[in-house]
Amino acid sequence: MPVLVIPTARRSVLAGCAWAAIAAVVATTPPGRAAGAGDDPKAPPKAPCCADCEACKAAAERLPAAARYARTAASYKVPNVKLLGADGRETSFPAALDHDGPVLLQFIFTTCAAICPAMTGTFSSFQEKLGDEMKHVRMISISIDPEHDRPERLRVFAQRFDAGPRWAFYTGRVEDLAAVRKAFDADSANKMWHRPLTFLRPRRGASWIRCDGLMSAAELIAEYRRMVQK
Amino acid sequence: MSLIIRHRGKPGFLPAWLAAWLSLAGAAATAWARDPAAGRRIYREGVLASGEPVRATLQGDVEIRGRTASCATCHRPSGFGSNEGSSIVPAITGPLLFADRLPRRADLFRGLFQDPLPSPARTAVRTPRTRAAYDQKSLAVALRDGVDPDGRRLDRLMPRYAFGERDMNHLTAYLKTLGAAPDPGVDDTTIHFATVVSEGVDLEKRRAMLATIEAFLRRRNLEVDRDVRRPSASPYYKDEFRIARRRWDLHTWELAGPSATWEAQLEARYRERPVFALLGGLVAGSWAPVHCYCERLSIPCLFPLTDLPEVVEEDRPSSTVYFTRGLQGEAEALALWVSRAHPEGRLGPIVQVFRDTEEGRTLARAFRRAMPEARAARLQDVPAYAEVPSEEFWRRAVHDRKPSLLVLWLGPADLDAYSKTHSAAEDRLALYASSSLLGRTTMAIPERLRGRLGLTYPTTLPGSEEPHLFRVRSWFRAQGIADEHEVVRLNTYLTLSLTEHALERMVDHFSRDYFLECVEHELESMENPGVFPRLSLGPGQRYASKGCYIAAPARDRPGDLEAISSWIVP
Repeated sequence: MPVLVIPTARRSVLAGCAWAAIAAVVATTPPGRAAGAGDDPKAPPKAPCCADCEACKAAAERLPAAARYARTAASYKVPNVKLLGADGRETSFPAALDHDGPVLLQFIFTTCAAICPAMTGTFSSFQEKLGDEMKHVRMISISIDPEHDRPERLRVFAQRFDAGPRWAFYTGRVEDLAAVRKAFDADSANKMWHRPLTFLRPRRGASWIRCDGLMSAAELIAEYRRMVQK
Repeated sequence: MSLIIRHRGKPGFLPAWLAAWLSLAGAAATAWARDPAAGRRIYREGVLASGEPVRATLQGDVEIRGRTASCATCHRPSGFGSNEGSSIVPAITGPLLFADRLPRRADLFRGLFQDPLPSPARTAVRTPRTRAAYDQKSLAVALRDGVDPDGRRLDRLMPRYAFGERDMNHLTAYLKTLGAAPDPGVDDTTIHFATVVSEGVDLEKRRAMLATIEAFLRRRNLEVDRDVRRPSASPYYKDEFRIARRRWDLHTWELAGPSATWEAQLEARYRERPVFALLGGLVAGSWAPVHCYCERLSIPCLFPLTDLPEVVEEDRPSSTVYFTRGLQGEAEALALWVSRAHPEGRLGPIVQVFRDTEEGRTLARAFRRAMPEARAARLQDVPAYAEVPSEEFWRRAVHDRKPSLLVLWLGPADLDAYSKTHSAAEDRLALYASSSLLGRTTMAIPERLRGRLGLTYPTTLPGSEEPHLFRVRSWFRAQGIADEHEVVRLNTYLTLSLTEHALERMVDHFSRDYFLECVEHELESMENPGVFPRLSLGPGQRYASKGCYIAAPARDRPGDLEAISSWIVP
């Protein structure tokens, strides 16, 4: 069998054609059929990458960490207003919070384009990682866009984030929810200006831990553990 | 093309058929491997070329997938980014991403002063950074490892993706097209808008809308001309925004003939003069043909004055933004009110009488759909066809059926005709109608029905004016157009003010998607002249006022209305 020895100047041409042929085969692979490692979303990109090199990694490590959340303790006077659950049932806000175990609370809206998917994703990951312990916990997400986030929209949103039975979503009247946000110092004139706040309370009657900033699930779990172990 | 391959010391040729196949396959592969349409699906819908959902990790340990993980969720369909509270999502359009980033004062000023920023975000905006241009390799690194071409870590809010090379090719190809050129309807000096008016509309309303637009544009264009004439006069750094200054030119697109021909007429008008967006508008009957046309060409359409909007699901946001869901929203609100105010036990048959028109059918259909199933089974529909319904019609339509709840989706003349047959024996009958069909005036309510008739009322009730209303009214007086149809004028004024706010936010990034995103963002913070109690949009939301009152003539104030329900949001 003759061995092809190709001059350097021609190698790139042939390599280009061969790659094109392979790419053509890949491109004509029917949808749904695995088409090679390049299509595996979990596979790392083939392109050479400077961040893989130790120098770049080290440079990245030297950079200051991104702004984390601010943590404070606070007491809030809970207004006695009505909330409307994703199941369509009304309940009072004090009743929604009336739980002897830990309560976690966030303010979100379902069409949010930035921080709410991240905050809700953290709650979702938290409930998954907490496992059996979730049976002692109550998680509450309250809409700050109540006229749009009617119960059926909340149900869809909850499904999108695999919300379990210990996680409730609420809407209600604009005035009532404004009172709730004001009580938790979480109000803003425009819902597009809202802040990534997460509130935690270890038990009924205790004061709240207020976390201002986006949190990872690990950070939220760490806050939770720190709170319940006290 | 033929490829020459040399054996050691001896020339040889690749067979021509193989060379041709390789060349064709190569061309096809290149086209498939960089498919902007596939990149668009990744960007907008979070779907990979394989059909699998995009998966990503957020903040180190939060798994997201599908649409939630799509680029458009945060960077928005336009690619011009967004900001929310302390989180600032940067623009990633092709011209910005694949070029060195050099901060521009106009964008920085907008970033600093457009919205209130909490402290960390303010610091971030005040310390702009340059950045080397991305290419596909550095983009893959940024998406996978969260490190930009200068070696800086991206924000924690930026998810980390593990795209394969094929998907990276598609995505890069799409990003290069994203925001690559201004959308049609904008040139160096002018932004062209259009307003659609059909024949058969109320001429007074048409005059009120067009006069408001004309006066607003006159004022605005004078300001633009002044700024352009005197470039050295730059109070409040106005000069920085000269790049964004454009005169507005409004084209009135008149439609004639049946609504089935409107799309073709719109097409012809657009070919003649492409416009950036449609503002306001007034047509006889449903807005659907104009809606569909805007959808097809992705032309933004802001607040047409219609009771018959196209009501669409918000998973796929349309190009048209409406004030309300129109008559459908009213009927849904009434269904909700009826289920609260008239408990099941005491409620007998329900009858709805309606004209066999688009308005009547829309109301009747929406009312039925919004009823709980058990009630809908008891609901009887009675369409009215005759020009003047006879007494016999009312006897058969209403009195013989002995309803305990009667909904009259009718205009003033029909309501008057019914009232003449209404007997004192029917005083316990609960009666409802639509204020939109009655012209939102108590004058249209016959004397015999006063005190018995409830009205769906989707706007602010008379007597509860917003402070901004008085400022706008004085502007109208100054323009000499403070006559009839104040609601039309106020709504048109709000549309134009919102357009002005949105365009200021955009600076000179003339993208239609970005325009809609700025409209979504700006509306809630704008001063509301008060036709509607609350106006608010959000990403993908297309109906700004979401509720409705049930109102009745006030007992102690003749001629006035008072709410008998709170603001009902169906």
